[in-house]
Amino acid sequence: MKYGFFPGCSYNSAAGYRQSVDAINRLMGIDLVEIPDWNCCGATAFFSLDEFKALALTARLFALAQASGFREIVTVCNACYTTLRKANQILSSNPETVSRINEELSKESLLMEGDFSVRHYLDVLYNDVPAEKWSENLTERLKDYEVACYYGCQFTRPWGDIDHMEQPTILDRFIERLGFLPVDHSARTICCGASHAISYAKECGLLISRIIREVRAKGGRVITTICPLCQFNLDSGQKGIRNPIPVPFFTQLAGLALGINASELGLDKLLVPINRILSRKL
Amino acid sequence: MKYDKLKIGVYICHCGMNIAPKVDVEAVVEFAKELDHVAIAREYKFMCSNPGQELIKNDIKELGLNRVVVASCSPRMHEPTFRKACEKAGINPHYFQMANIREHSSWVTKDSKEATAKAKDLVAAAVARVAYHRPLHSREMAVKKSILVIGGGIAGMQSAISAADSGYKVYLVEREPSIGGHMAKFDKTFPTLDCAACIMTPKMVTVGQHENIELLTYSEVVSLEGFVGNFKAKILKKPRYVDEDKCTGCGVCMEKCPIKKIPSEFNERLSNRTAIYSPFPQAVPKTPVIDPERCRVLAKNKRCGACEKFCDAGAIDFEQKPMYLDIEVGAVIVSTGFKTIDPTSLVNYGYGRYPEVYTSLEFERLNNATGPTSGKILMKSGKPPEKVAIIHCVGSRDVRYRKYCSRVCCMYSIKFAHLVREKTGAEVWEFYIDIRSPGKLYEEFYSRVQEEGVHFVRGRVAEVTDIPDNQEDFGRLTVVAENTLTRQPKRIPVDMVILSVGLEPADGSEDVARLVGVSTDGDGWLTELHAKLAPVATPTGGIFLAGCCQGPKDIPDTVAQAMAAAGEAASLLSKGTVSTRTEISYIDPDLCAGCQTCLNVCAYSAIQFDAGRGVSVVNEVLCQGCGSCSAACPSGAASVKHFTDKQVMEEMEAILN
Amino acid sequence: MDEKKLQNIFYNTSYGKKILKCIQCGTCSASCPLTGLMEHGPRELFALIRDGDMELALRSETPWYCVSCYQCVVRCPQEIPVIDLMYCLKRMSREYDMVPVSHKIPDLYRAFSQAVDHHGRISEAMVMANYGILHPVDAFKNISMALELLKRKRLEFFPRQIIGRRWVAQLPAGEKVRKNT
Repeated sequence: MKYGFFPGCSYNSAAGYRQSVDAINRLMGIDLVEIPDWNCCGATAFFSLDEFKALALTARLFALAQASGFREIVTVCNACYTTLRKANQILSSNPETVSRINEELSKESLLMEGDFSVRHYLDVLYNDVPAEKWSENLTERLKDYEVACYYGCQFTRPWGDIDHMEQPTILDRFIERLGFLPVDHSARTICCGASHAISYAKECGLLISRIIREVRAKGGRVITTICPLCQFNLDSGQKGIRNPIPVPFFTQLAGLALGINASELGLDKLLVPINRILSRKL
Repeated sequence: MKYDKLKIGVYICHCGMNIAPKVDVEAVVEFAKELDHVAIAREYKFMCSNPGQELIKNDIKELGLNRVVVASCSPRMHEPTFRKACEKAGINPHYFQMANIREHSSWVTKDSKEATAKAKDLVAAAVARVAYHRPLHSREMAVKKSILVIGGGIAGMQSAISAADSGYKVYLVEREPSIGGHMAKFDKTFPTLDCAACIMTPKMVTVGQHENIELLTYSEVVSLEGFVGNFKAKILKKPRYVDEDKCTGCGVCMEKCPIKKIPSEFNERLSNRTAIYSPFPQAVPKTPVIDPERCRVLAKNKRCGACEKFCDAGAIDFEQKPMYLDIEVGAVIVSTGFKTIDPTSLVNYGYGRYPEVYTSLEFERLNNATGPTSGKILMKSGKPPEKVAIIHCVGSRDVRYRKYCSRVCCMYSIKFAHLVREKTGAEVWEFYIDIRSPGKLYEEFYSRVQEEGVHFVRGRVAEVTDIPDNQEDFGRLTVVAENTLTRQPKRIPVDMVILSVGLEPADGSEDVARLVGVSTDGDGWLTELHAKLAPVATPTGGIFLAGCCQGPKDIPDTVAQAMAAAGEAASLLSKGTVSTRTEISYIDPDLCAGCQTCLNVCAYSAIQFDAGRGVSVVNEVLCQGCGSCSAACPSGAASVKHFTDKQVMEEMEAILN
Repeated sequence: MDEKKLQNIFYNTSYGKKILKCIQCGTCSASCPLTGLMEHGPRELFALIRDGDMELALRSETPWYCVSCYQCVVRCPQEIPVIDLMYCLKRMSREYDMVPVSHKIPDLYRAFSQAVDHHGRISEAMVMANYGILHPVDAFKNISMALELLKRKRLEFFPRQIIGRRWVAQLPAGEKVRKNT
């Protein structure tokens, strides 16, 4: 299994995301080939300010992937995922814009042509890695541990193809496959405030605490996320709360289920410590 | 085959301002004058008016015209008008041809020059075609003095009663064990709040006892053949496993049946029924049915027979088989009704996820004395709610589900608000986009309920969630909407949510439509002949529509349409005869090779093989003129009168030249 | 520029005319996670635009509060692409110099795009530094968080520079490709 890989700008500083993804790739034989010299996808900021630049930035990524022989690009961040998909959608129906952008790209000897398939790493782990491959490698360490899955906004929306837009279950199904017990709750896709949390901390704090309260009320003992920004907001947004709930990445949970050491998974980088769970013996 | 001396009259209609300003009518007249065999070409403001028709008649008499072409609107409306005018002036009505320069040209063409050019082409084609028209004659046929009504809700029952009262035999076919339909499930009816059962059960009894009505419940129409005045229907009577003649309706069987945990369809699955059951206490007929999928004897071949043992009348009959009944009727009234939209896929409203979210039909049953709570508004916990939200437009006015307004939801929602206030005193929050109350006493009812202290919030609900804003509301539901009149986002905690789901065509209504040869619109509603002027008739002669199968409507409108359908059917039958079709198939015995291909393609069984002569013969009464045989015939023997190859080719050639 | 002209410009963007289908039901405004902060909400913006009150619409803070969570889009009963229209309004307000000065998100986005222009990529710290110059209070509130991150070796100040950064920086700005969105 070999894919073009777009890590995105937040990947390195995200709490142990890179370590855990690397660890899983090694064990599961997944080859994520980083797109050389990738640039920022532009996120929602560029679509808000300057559409040509927004499209040009993503087009460069597609062109780089194309040059490396990839038409399938895997991302690990919801914002990158939806930004790339959205741009792909716009570009594939606007040949004039593409040729205008290709003029620019030619300065770097790059060329972008045709449609690209943009996928989330969760999609790869759930749909491309056979279920048996997981069950063969599972340890019983955290069996039946109650996990609340948090999908965030830009994974299922506005697409609706990978899963239901408001009540998705793919992550629940994935962690169930790993032996965890998914907790049914109503905060799966409600917004965490995203980057607005920087400027409007108080208001976004309310959104974050609504998610935390709901998970706690429904018996979730950890919240797992699939996006660096979601993870950061939920993890950092619990300051001063009694009994905060740890927010590991789904890849870190997968690593634990596969028996990988906590230190290899970067779990020490979480703001809300996860030690209590790890000390649980079964 | 052309006349020796063809004399064609061409008449171009202005249709007021519909054709004339776009199409240069004078230019078309001048153009028509130059066409072969055209003796006269004229224009007139309204050809369909009496003076317009007189123009044609006079020309036929005075100029000796033997063919007429009118270029105006769609033949659907006025072809009969002009054919009659021709007939009255003494030429065969089929010596007439219509060119549609309104729908096919002036209405759909932007550029005036192009519209005029197209109008000329269409006129040329009609002139070329009419030259090859042949005189056709129809016969008068006696009609059967009976009517088939499909569907036994309030529409079907009313149609049946009205038709039966005027002296015609009525077969009323209902697929459920009892007549009554949706109205039987309701408690009160807006705007006057009469009890649905009180006003409806007398009608149910009338249907059951009427000497002219043969009630066929638990039955379905499986085929319909023939044509206006002379239909043959085949009815499937599903086995009830209870003998209707012997059963007294005492109900002991239902008490004794050991299978008691089957969700009751009538109570919207809010309570249970037994395997032998009658859907509700006032059911007509009273005879119960045995559910063959759940009965221990029928489904599992186990020993039980409790019902049989305790039935003093000896009415239980496990050996009953499906029966087919062949009937002949002169007219058919379709009244297959509606179903409510399933809100499960609108996940943001939480139906199926949160127990205290109800559909409007479920809420009707909660209110009904024969319902799961004996008419008390109670939550699943057994307690009455203190705060209730009612959400309008669930599935309606939503392009992803049903783009149309379902017409009845506003009023029934207001009725619900009143019932909640009256029965529980609970606070009611009603979320609407627009209140639509265009009916007699409807606005007055809305006003009254407003005064009863119901909170009307103008805003469509975005979400129903179990995430509360305040900890003390944990366990309740929160309704999220914007009050669009104050621009305030509202998050209202409530105990119960009622979804005012919209209406869509009943399951199987498209099958019935196909069976009776009526088309459906994009949403699946059966299509009437004319939206304004023929709202009860259909393009298929002798088939009429009543009630919601044609589109959402409330009880007053349904009853009115049901009576209208009965009246239309009765007026057709009282005339006593209908004319047979003229545009039907003809198989030339000199060309027919006797291969019988046509027999296989004929959907109306209208072709027989004459073994003596070795040729196929068309039954002129049964043939619908669909043209399948003509297309399939390898030797070119089959053709449809008035649509012969020659006529069609001449028409096409004139357009292409 | 007069409002009629601005209205026409809006209608002539790819999705502009979609607001003509709006039934003013408020589903968008109710679905929005930050609706409480908006003076108008998307529904009222559409009403303003339809009335020709373009100044009010373009100077509104509402589009800048949009976090692109797409909740409104997936619930709109008329399938109006609300998010794309918010992007469009934000870009128009920049083009016609009507960005609301009171709002912080334009500054945040500028800080973001500055970082991209310089390095081709961003680091959170870099964005915060660019933004903190304009909004020191917000930056100050995040200092303790920064220390926490530093402790966990999660803070990198400079993003790794890419070869393509010069290409990114030279991209022509403000090119009008509005027929796309």
